[in-house]
Amino acid sequence: MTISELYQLHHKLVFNLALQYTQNIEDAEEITQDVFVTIHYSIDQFNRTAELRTWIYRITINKSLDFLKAKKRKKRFGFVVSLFENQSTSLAHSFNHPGIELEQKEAIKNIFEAINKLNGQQKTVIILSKIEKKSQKEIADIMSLSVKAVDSLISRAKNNLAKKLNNIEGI
Amino acid sequence: MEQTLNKLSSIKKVETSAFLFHRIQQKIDSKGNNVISTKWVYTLAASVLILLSLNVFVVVKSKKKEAAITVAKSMHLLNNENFYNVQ
Repeated sequence: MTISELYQLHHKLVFNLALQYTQNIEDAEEITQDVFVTIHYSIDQFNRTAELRTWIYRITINKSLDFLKAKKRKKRFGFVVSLFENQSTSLAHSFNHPGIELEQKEAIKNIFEAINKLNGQQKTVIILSKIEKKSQKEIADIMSLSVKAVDSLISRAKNNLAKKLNNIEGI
Repeated sequence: MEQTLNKLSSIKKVETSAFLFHRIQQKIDSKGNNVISTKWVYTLAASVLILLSLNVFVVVKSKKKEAAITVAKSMHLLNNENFYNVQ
């Protein structure tokens, strides 16, 4: 299968999943580019026993989490640089999610604010279960975990999310 | 909590930019040109290793020679081949 065919089949999945992690079109496009470049170079290493879609999910999740880590690092470094320079480096997180309707925007922005404070695994289970509407079995396959582990991860994520949401005004 | 999280299910799937694949193709092409073959990487690594071991060898050898001269001087030994101590 060529990269063009793979792109046609899976670009929407990759872009939308990256968008749930970054809530920003530009960042999601950057991750999508990275994911397809990685797919192009490592398609030979793809284990045929696993499902291609699951493999693409894994790559996208890893790339999204790596991207967020790098962005956080850059933000910290930008703060240090701004102490020595007069110009302020604006790397602040900009919420720009095109999939949200206007009347829901404020409420969902607050939920994402809390989701962004969760660790990588908890963030992933919330995104996969609540936005991508995946079953626990599918989440377990994607995250290479047991269904039981996913179940407890979801309940821990929900507990943490409730605490974080309580700290955010308006919810 | 569940009610709050259910708001997330209203998020709609969106389409990507029409130029995204073109940019991916460009990235793949530019990466392909910059790839250095493993043969060159190994050759470079071997050269650096040889150079480093040569450096270590020279430093160790010169230190040994210096130490021998220091011992000879402290014991007032001649460090030449004049066997009968003729000045």
